[in-house]
Amino acid sequence: MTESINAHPDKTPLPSTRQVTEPDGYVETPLWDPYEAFMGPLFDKRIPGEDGAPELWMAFRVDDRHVNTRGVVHGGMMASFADAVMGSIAWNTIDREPCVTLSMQMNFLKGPKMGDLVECRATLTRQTRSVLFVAGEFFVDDNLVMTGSSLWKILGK
Amino acid sequence: MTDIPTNYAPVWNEGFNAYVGPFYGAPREDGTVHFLMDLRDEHMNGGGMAHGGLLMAFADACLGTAVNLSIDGAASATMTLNTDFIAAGVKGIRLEAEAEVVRRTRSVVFVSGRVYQGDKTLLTATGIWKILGAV
Repeated sequence: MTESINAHPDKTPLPSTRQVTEPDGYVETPLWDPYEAFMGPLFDKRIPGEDGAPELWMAFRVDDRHVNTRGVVHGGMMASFADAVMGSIAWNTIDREPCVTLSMQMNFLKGPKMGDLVECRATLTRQTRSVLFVAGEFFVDDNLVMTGSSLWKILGK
Repeated sequence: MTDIPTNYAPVWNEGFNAYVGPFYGAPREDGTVHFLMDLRDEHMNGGGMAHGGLLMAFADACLGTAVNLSIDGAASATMTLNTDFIAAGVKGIRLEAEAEVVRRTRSVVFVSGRVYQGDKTLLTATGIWKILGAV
């Protein structure tokens, strides 16, 4: 079992509000933001990508905290998950220096439902001295449900 | 939450909105929609500022409500949401949002809005909502 991308050797992560079984191949992601622990748990895995570089995948299991009145995942939850995933790749790319979201664009193709496992493959598209470009593709059962792209500002740069 | 104006009501207060909110909302006379909420510990990031995901969720709820009112309550869903993060949100100041429908066609609604604290804009948002069942 691989270690989570957000693991820290000394610090104890925040406990998530719910206990959820780890999906196959994933480990539970240590969470450091209270809001993410409030929505969590989240899970992640790194697998070899087509070009040999590791791909970061993260996932969450949809429950009653995440849905709207129609039983479909709230757009705000998808945005929150996108921010957590893309933020993880940005933050780890720059050796965990502080960084913040500059912008986020999302296209919603299909609404995940209660019990679905929503998975995201996050990709670092470009890195400049002060800004990171991160993209994400979101799937349920291999069907694309959302695409996202984001910019991250490295603070102090 | 204290001192909520009496004409404000929790919006779609089930599931996500009830868990993360409640988000209090009311229509204004000019047709825009205004939202209020108070930030709690569980809305923050590790740096003690409002989490970006929370700001986007609050914006999505406010923009979606403006859309809903413009189509007389017909079912709709976010198709695209674009957000720019202008400034960080802090605890202790009421979080507000406002949204305005820019255009409505037969099947989609264009909407624009922002999240703010006092005179400081935290996030600007534009989006397109699909009117479900409309072609």
